[in-house]
Amino acid sequence: MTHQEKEGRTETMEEGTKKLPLWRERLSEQAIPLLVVFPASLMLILFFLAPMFVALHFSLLSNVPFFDITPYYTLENYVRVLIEPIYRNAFIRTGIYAIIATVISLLVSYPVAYYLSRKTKRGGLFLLILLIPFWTSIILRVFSWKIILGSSGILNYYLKWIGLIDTPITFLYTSTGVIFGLVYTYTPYMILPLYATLGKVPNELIEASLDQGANRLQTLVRITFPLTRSGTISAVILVLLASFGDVLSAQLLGGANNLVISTVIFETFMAGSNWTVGSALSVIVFSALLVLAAIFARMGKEAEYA
Amino acid sequence: MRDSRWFRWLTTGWGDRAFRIYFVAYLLYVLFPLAVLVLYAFHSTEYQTWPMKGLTLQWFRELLDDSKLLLALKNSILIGLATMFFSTLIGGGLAYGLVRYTFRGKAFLETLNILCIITYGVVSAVSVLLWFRMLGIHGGIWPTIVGHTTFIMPFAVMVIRDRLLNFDREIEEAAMDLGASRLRTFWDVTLPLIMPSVMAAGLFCFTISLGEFLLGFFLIGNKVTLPVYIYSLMRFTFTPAINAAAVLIIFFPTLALIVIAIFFRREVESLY
Repeated sequence: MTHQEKEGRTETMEEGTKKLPLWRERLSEQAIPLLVVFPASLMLILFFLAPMFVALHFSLLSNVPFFDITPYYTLENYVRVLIEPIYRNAFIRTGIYAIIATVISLLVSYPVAYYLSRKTKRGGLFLLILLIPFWTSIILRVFSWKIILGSSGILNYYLKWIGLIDTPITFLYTSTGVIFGLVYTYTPYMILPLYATLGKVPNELIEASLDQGANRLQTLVRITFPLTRSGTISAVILVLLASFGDVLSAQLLGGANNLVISTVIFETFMAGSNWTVGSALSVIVFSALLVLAAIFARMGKEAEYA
Repeated sequence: MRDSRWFRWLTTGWGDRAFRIYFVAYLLYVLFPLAVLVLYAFHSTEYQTWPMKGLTLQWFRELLDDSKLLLALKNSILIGLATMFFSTLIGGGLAYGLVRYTFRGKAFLETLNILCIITYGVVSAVSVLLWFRMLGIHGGIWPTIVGHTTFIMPFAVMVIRDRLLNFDREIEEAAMDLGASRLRTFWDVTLPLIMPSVMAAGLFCFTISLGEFLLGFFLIGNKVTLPVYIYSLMRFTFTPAINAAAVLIIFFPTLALIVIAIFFRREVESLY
């Protein structure tokens, strides 16, 4: 129904029920939306938006205001974060891990999403099965990889059994371990949008392309990829966002030598020391997340108009 | 020979078959870690080596004797139920308002809602911690419920909103033309129609809350939730009791998923 039709309908309705006094009409038109939207808006503003400004505030203080020493405003925390190698390295590492994990999960997920949306009629059901791990706690998924990747774990056992290696490979507490964890945890974020966007590609276009003599690869590259571009970028950004915020993969599979920025923030706050530096790190990470989210929103709009 | 079924099978249809084989391999990869988790809950030694030595139920017994774990489980279920209730109630309100009315700040609220989901991570958790500390609120069950509701409610909004967008408004208008008030219409017409999505949303919220780690870790104070307790076990020891606990946790989402698969297929699709 178009917007205009809706307007027309309410007008005729008002004529029919003129007994209602104007103030009640006003009340139901303006008070009800306010009333139903208010609690949720309050939650989002008070506990999602406000905390970000609190973090910004803390990041500019010389020390946390919970003790006797009165804090003053300073940029010291940001300078520290940019200068000290532990933070700088963590930032660089985070970027590298996130990008590698995203690329791998794109390569892994695209054929899966393609199969689910175009090659089978039971895509919806299969998708639900794929989502089982997504619903189980992230901590268990990471823990399970810890068991599998251990030096006397299952993966090493079978690698030895088929004769690929003689001595066990150390996966745990290396960057490989982290990437294993990230890819496993976040491929569902990749598959869902890809599945949705691939499902929208009209069959006629693909058939037309094949009829005109293009082979399957050409059709994929020149028809399917361009048509799913914004959906794919959205998927990539979702995985990047998630990998940026991930604490557990890096902490439990990567160990102390593979600190990423989220783990650093986590441990800063857990130890209860240096909350101001932790806030500065949080503000930087959140800004990066906002940039990614903005691109995501843009891609969503593009996909709508396509 | 050339006409045999085998030959035809071998020489045709490899494009589709490759897809199917790849998909099955992927499916195994996805489910494998969960299977491992469950399997080791029955392992007779405490070292998680392969091949396995033998089977035992000892870890489950140990689990049931662990009063701290039972407390964590109780807290988690309590928080999950509260989160489920508040998320669907106020999330449903937001969804209804966003779909049915135009008002100032609507686009802002929509943005906030989606932003809350996609930027969720350690930063959200520590910021809420800072804010609570500034307000003088210490950790505990209620702060965790507030945190969970804030960050999990947006999922409920998505699910319920999708349903509201996709149903025939003329039914509502017919009710009002026949003299039903707005409230009456909502109660007797709208609510029954969106009920499946409200229930699916509740199930999602409960499941997410049950497994949520970061907010729980920072907001629970000196109490524990199940994921927080498992985390503390993992960091300092390495006991199959964790696996036994895992079996308990995996059990619920799987059950929820089966329910969803049977009753709420449509609602799942609104998530993407």
